[in-house]
Amino acid sequence: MSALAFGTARTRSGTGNAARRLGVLIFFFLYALPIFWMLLTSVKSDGDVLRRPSVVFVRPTLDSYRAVIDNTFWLALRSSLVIAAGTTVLTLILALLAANALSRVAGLGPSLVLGLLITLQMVPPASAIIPLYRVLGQWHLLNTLLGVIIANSAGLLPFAIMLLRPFFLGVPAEVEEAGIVDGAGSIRMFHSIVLPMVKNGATTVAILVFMISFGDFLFSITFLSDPSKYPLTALLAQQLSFTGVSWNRLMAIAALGAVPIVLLYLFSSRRLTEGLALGAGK
Amino acid sequence: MLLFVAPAAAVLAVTSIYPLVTLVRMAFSDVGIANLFHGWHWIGLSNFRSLAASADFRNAARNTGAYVFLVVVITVGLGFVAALTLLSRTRVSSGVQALMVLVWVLPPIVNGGLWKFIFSGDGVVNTALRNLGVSPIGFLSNPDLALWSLALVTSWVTIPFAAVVFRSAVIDIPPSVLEAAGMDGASRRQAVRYVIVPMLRPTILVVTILVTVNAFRSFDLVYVMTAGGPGTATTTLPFLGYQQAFQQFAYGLGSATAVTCMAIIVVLAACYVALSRREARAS
Repeated sequence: MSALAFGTARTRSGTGNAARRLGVLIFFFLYALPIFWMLLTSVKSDGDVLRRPSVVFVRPTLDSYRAVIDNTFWLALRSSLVIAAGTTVLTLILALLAANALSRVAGLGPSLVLGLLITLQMVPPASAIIPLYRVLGQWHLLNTLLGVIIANSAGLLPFAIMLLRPFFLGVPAEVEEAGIVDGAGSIRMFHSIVLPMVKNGATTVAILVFMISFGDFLFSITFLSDPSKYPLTALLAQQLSFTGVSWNRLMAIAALGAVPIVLLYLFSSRRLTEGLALGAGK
Repeated sequence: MLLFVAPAAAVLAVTSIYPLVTLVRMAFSDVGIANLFHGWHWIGLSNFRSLAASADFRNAARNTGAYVFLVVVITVGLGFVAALTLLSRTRVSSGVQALMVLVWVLPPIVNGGLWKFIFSGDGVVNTALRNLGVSPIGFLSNPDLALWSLALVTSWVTIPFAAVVFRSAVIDIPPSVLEAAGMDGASRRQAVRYVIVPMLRPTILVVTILVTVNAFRSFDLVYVMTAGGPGTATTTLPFLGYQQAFQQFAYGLGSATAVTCMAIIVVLAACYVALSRREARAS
């Protein structure tokens, strides 16, 4: 509100507001138009896409959706959900435990660990994937969804711990001390006292981890040699690399692949936006 | 306490630290497809010497520098503009911000595929240009333009992140500060320049580092939109490492490239840690 009040107090507020309105409009079109174009293309017929690619008014058809929603699509959606859900559960459990411990110990140790985590979080996935390929191969986890889940979790665990730690730091020490006086064991205390207090942070982190691992295709396309195990993202990446692609079908796959993320986002946009500002502000 | 650290520490040790050690060992060994799983020969700095002598590596380093620079300037600049533009808490501003953040959380492959389509020879932009009688632009097929196109799309995806962080930092500026500036007769432009930017300096620095790291790491958009091409015009260092390992099966060489990337990341991480510590002490 502050800047708004300031804005109306100014002398040139009229032109200022007009410029701002124009700015809002520009950003809207910058982000709405490409998305609109994806959706529009996905309901064009093969002929319209080929002959009149830039035409807006077409007779919409669901043919591309009918063509792409086949057995392969359902298998890919299943893989996507298994990978994202598996990564979320594994990452969240480990990160909750680690963040709790890291927020309770003082001294040089945690600082060093934090530095290490920040560095690990920044490792380019394209670099991490080279040794991971060998390590997963040693464990006979190549070409399995579990291998992809482990690779995703390894990449996201440092990020999840870093995001969760501030929430654990926010749990007052007195709460835990009271728990100890009551004779609660450390596992029971973690479960029944600390965990409920960090529920918000844990939910935000879970949503982010789900979205990121749902979006991964590098690990899947590299580790899975059997395309029938591909998640939606890898399927889309594979089809995009073919020449002579039918764009209406590709845009239909892209739109369908975005649906789970959009649904999740509808329920969490405020939480995510606030978490984002908080996470980077730290 | 041990009970809590142990699982995560064990998993990190096995899935992050051990692979990193493996990566470094591979970088100093002669690893190909035949001996990926056993029988490495220690060859010292040989891989790194090959890299130093390779035109591909130098080209990738140059591409990476240019790409990261473009993405950081565009993202931080337009992210700041977007934050100021969408500052008011009206329904329209919140709606536009929500739309932008939605783009940011979409799978990168969806965004990359979409822009590959928009930029393609028979895409909407080039068809429109042709209808206007202008010759089409090879956004992704012209070696001089491809890196720019890639940087623009990367920025398009990252601007929402910068905008949200900047916006919340501006909202956190105490109202009295801006009111005082207004009473002193500062214009909007002056207020931005002399009040908002200086107060946001720490946030701007942190966002700059995060965007730098993010641009440096980025792989998905390169993979989908240009696959490093045309030729090697958009091959960045992480992408080169990936190609060396998984397309040429020169795992040792690819590891050496990846280790170089890691060294750069360690420097960036150190800057980030130093910066956030200084801010934590200041506040």
